[in-house]
Amino acid sequence: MSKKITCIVCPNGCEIEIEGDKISGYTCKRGLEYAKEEMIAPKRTITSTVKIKNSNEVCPIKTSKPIPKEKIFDVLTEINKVEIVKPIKMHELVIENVLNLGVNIIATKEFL
Amino acid sequence: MIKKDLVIIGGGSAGLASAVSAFDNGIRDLIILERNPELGGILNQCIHPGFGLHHFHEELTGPEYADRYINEVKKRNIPYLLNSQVLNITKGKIVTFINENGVQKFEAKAIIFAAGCNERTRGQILTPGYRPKGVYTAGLAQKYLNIYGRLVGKNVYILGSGDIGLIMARRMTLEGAKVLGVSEIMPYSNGLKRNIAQCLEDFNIPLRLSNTVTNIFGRDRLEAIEISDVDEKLQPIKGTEKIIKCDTLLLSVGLYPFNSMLKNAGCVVNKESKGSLVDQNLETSIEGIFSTGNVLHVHDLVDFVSEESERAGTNAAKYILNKLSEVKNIVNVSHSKNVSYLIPSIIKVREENENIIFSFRVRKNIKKATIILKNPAKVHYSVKKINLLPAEMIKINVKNLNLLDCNELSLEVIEDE
Amino acid sequence: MNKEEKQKLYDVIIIGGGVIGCSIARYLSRFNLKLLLLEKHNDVGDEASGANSGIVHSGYDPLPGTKKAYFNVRGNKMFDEVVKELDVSFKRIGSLTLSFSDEDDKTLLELKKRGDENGVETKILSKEETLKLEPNLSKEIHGALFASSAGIVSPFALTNNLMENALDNGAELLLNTEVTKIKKKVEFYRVFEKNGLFFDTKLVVNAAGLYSDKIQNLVGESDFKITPRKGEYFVLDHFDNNFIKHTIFMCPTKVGKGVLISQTASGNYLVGPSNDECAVDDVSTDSLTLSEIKKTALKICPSLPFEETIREFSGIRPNSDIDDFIIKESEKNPGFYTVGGIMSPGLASSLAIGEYVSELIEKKLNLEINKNFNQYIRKHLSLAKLGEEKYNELIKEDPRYGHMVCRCEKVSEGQILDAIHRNSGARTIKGVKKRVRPGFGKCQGTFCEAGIAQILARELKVDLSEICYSDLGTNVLLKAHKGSEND
Repeated sequence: MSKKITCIVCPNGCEIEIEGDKISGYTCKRGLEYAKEEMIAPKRTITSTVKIKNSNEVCPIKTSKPIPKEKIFDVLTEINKVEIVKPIKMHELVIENVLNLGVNIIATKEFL
Repeated sequence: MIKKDLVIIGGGSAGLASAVSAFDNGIRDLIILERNPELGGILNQCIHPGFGLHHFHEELTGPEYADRYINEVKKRNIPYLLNSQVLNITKGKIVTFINENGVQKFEAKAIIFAAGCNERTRGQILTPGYRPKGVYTAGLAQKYLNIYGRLVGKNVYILGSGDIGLIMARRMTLEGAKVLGVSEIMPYSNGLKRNIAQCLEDFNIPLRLSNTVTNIFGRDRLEAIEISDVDEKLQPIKGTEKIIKCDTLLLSVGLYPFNSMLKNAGCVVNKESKGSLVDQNLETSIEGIFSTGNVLHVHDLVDFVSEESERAGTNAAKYILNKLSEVKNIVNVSHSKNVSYLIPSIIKVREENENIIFSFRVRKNIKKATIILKNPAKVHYSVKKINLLPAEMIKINVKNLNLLDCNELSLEVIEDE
Repeated sequence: MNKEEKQKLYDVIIIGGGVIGCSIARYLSRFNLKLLLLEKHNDVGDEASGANSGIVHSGYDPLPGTKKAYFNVRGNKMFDEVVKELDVSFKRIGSLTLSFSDEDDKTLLELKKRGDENGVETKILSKEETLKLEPNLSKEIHGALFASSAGIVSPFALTNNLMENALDNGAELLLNTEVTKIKKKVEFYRVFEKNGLFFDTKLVVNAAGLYSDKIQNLVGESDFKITPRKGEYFVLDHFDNNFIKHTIFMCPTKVGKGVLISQTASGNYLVGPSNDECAVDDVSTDSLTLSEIKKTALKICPSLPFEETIREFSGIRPNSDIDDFIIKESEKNPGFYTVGGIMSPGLASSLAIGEYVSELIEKKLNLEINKNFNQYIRKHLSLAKLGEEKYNELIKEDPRYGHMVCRCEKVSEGQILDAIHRNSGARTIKGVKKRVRPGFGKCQGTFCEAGIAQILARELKVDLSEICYSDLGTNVLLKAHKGSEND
């Protein structure tokens, strides 16, 4: 059985075809890695925001590494509970090892 | 009046990159005018990843990408004014702006106009029906969600498959809204393929091609929309109507350069890109006024905005420092019908061999194509490309073009079998 | 009636905060009285008064001898002074009514005759004379009727500033108050609102516009019926101040004045309206009607740049089955005044109607002059009005006037704050837009709406989620869903 996926590694969006062990259509190493992983354990980098105490703005955050796709909404529940305090540095740790996934939640913007 | 060598209007991705490169090319008397309370422009609300793969060879979020350039600006101590709105620009390169210190003016040797683009609104696409609250442009909803942490609604439909719409489909889903679908009037998507995959398919959000919103219901708050299939002429087909109950309709129906200020200054407009008409140095029809980034033409990737703006900065520096040699020939550049716009529109030939970057978009999907640059007598350049999409900007970098004896140059995209 | 009830008793309650109700309120506030205006929406001027052509007609069109003719001509004359008092933008740009046929030529002559009888100066212009004034008009025209006294006004500012001035002079205003019942007592009327609250008053003025027949029904009368007619419009950006300089009309027909092209008081171009029967609250637009308007407009002005379109909207005219304005005290219910069916030229007539009705009431109640009456509202300050030098002095006093919130229409935070903290101040996004214009520009608020919502929330001391676009229930945002205080 063959499966077609769109590579999300870069804006090129290559169409990759996977037929058993045979993977074709990728144009770079990272694309091949992505296709392999997508077949066994699909992962995504997630971005969202967290509340900043005494501010009407929120702080953008991201997962330091891609997380398993099925954990996305569980991780977001954790993210929504958090409230952080200024000053916030770029890539400051917001949640360490979220849900024991071995992934951190980090700030992606500086707030003085 | 205060004199400046270079005034850069806009502190987003285009303004920041051009400031850095102008500085690195010898300009010290320069300033960036930014209307928002912080540098970075629209990147600040684009908190999703996907930026920087071309430019920094790693995947960054919008604020991270902006931060890299902001740091470069700060490292060089390039001055900038925040909360400063430019009011107008004159032919004589006087820039009037306003901030909390008053209405002020700079007399500039050169201006780089990097004011970005606007979203098309409902009024511009003539969507019929009522005018309830709940119809937002995707970018405004993005600002509310990513800057202020607030959702505009819970049950969302999206018109237009532009990247902001796709990105917002995912963002709103992640924040707890239900995204019911996306309609795209064209038979192909207007967003990047990977955004269809990771923003729609990942969350089972249907994409309806050749489909559009044909009515809007609700007197105060949006209650429902009607969608219909369209024919080849983009006209709704009777009998295909479907009612969808929702409290929010996001419009992701295209962007256009926010170019009115340059137009009012007298810069000739490129009717196809809706930005200013520029030469290969990104100089407008007014000497010393340069235009770059989304106010010149709407880019698909910020990486290309940075690249283009570095060129604008370099060229503005050369202009200010009188390093541009004399123009030996002027070549008008045209394009074939399947190209929707092309930059530059003219080439001012100064050297025997010019390196020129051409940026353009095609009007429809083309699987295989040969792109040629020619004048009636001679093909100057030719390259083969695959999978050309209207959603993607195409850039070709042509080296050593000898145009001393050429009057007309034409860029043609020839479809290959 | 006990003492407490007597204290609470209003002299006059006006039902409806459109331009007519607000004008009556303003002119009544010249006298000493206890006055209340009830408006069912979240702002004044949100129905017909907020969605029309903004034209102050010269008055050649109404049939001589009608109320329309009288109030139009008188009202038009009042504008020069009143707009200064109320700081409303108004320009006498003059109108050209075009002829495209021999038959139209006859109509123009007839209109000229009517104008003469109504006391309105008009002039028939030849094709050449017309094209000299307006070179972008169709070369197919035969000529035009020129009326120099026609003007354009911001209907939003006019309505609101009339209300503001009335409040400055002691009137009261209640928004979100829909009148559903009126009980006639021996000495007074008891006016009930939707939720059962009531207000007692000696006199009632029914200025309920599209619902003026329904309000009249509440006292058991039905001498007219509102027959709403919808007008759809295009709004074009202010791309060129000289493209069309006058208000351009087609020759009128039985159903109305037809499609017009005009600059607005803010320099945009308005193209429309259509004229179709509709339900009283049907403010939708439709593609077919708009394309018909476009066709007609291009016949008038072939190079009209529709690509400059920034918005479409529709407004509903409160036409009635009586071919004139209805302005009278009821015979059956003395003290109950109806001011209804104020269709076109209602805006032009509004000041004269307000003045006239206030004088009827003055006589009825034997009112004394309000010695403290101030006919001026506090001036709105903007860069365009003050010029750079004076505006800079203002910024020195209050730096928030230097913070531009709206880049399309050049509106500062200072102006928005001023619009919020006035009598009849803005409480909604649309309220700010109607008063000082952010959101009326090309970006239609996509850049400034979030900032305005923030300012409103801060100034009104409420959460962002409570900020409405217009009526209650049109909240712009949901409640926050992040953080420990998750509300």
